[in-house]
Amino acid sequence: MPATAVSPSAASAPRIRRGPWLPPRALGLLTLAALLLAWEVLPRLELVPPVLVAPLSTVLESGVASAGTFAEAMGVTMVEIAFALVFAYGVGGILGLVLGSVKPLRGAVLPLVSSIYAVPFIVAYPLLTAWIGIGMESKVIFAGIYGMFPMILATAAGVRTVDPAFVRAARSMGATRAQILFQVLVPAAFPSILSGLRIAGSLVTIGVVVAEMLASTAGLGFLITQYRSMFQTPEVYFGIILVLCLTGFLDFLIGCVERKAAAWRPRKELI
Amino acid sequence: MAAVANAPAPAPAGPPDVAVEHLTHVYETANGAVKALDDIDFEVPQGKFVGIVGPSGCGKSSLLLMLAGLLQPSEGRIVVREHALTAPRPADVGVVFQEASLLPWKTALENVEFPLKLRGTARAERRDRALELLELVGLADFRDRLPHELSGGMRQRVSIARGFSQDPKILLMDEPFAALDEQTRLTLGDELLKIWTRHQKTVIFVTHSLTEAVYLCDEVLVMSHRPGRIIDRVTIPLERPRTYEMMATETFGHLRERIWRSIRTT
Ligand SMILES: Nc1ncnc2c1ncn2[C@@H]1O[C@H](COP(=O)(O)OP(=O)(O)OP(=O)(O)O)[C@@H](O)[C@H]1O
Ligand SMILES: [Mg+2]
Repeated sequence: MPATAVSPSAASAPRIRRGPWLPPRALGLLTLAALLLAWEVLPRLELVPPVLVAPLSTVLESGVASAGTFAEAMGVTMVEIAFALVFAYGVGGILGLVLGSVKPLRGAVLPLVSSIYAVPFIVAYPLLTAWIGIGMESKVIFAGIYGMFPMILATAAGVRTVDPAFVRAARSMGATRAQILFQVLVPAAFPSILSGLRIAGSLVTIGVVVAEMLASTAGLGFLITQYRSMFQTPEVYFGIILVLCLTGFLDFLIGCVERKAAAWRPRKELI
Repeated sequence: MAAVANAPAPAPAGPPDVAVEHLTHVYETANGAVKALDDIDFEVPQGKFVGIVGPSGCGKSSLLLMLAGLLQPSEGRIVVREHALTAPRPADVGVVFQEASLLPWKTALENVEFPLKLRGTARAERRDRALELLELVGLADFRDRLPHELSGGMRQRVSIARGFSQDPKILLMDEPFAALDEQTRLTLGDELLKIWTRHQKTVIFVTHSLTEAVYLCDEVLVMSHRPGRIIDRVTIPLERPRTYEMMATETFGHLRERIWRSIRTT
């Protein structure tokens, strides 16, 4: 031990550098609990008008009371989202791979795709319903196309920025075009493809629900608008909760894929 | 072996494995044309170990890319095993790149297996082969590590193992030992020589180390500053197998110095 006396404050200095007083997870849960409590208490105390915000317990009660209606609507919405996702991921992914890896197309078509992406398509939705009706197909097509654009752009961007050294090495080892695509470009572009999955996923959900709100006879979006026009505020909120649950579930699924597939990435935040 | 010092190498039996004819390469860049190689001409007989040395930026890596069929020459042509080279031919030519171009999402073992996987070798067989090669480069314990978990020298060794697993007739190596310590360098050099003798490969080996060039090669090509030309060819008449003692001999020193002088006069 060095002879110099260590002052108490210096000795305890490292202990000051503690983390937050609660682990982030607990903090998140606590915040959520506080919000839910406020949701229950504020309308009850009439601090916010109950017509605008119904207390949480009332919302849940009315949800349970109309469980059948909600379940049916949720089923419709889930099926629409599923089909639209398959379309957005499948077609968007394939187009993204092609546009990202074929040089001449890349320069000509990609800028076009990104400017189309900027157009608020929802204004054209009434036209679409005029052509193909207000059934599930119109939602699937609209939301599918809506989600397809970010999927194309993210996939193409990922493929385009793959280190050419990987492709060169694979070519020298005799990889065919298909092998280069699926064994080099796709895995190398996967982090970017994942963000495509995420953005396309939320756009598809938004697309389906909003389309249902605009013109429909079924689905959560339809139900929410209908209850709103009848001023059944608790039911409106219950519908919104269900939409949030769907988004959360989708996010969870993508998170699973992410954890599995992107394990190879060096974790920069640890350094 | 009845080795006579300085005896010319025995005349090659067949046609050369690699013939480079009037090879010129010009890179077209945004800032204009860069002539990287100028009228390169050489032949490598089957089974020879040929070194290429030259100042940085003289076009050695570019030359290897063209020999691998990965870069089209601006002028001239390359004939590999009697056929003009127009695209990569993995059974004939393999490359160990200057920067380890390992796939970052694959483990060391999977990277070494990759060339075999591409050509459809059965899983168990390619695993055995790859393990054997990882053992050879001293990385058997690191088989399940990802490239970013390895040091630069370790990555380079995985890359060398991958080159071997492809098992081409002609192996192009671009400064494969550059990131390694002297001891590993010598060990791997000896392993390379063993593999080369055992499998009758033709090796074209780029290096900055003159000692390494003399120790490993049958012939050393010396290139000039950019645009690269071949300004000297030095035959290394040391007998095989090479031993560390040879490095202390006068002949070795002379050869090293001869190459050194050629490079300096460029
Ligand atoms: N893709 C490229 N585009 C334009 N110029 C290039 C390209 N690749 C290489 N060059 C130029 O060609 C010349 C030769 O490069 P090359 O990489 O072949 O040199 P080298 O002999 O391998 O150098 P080193 O010993 O440093 O590895 C250099 O002047 C370099 O700037
Ligand atoms: Mg180089």
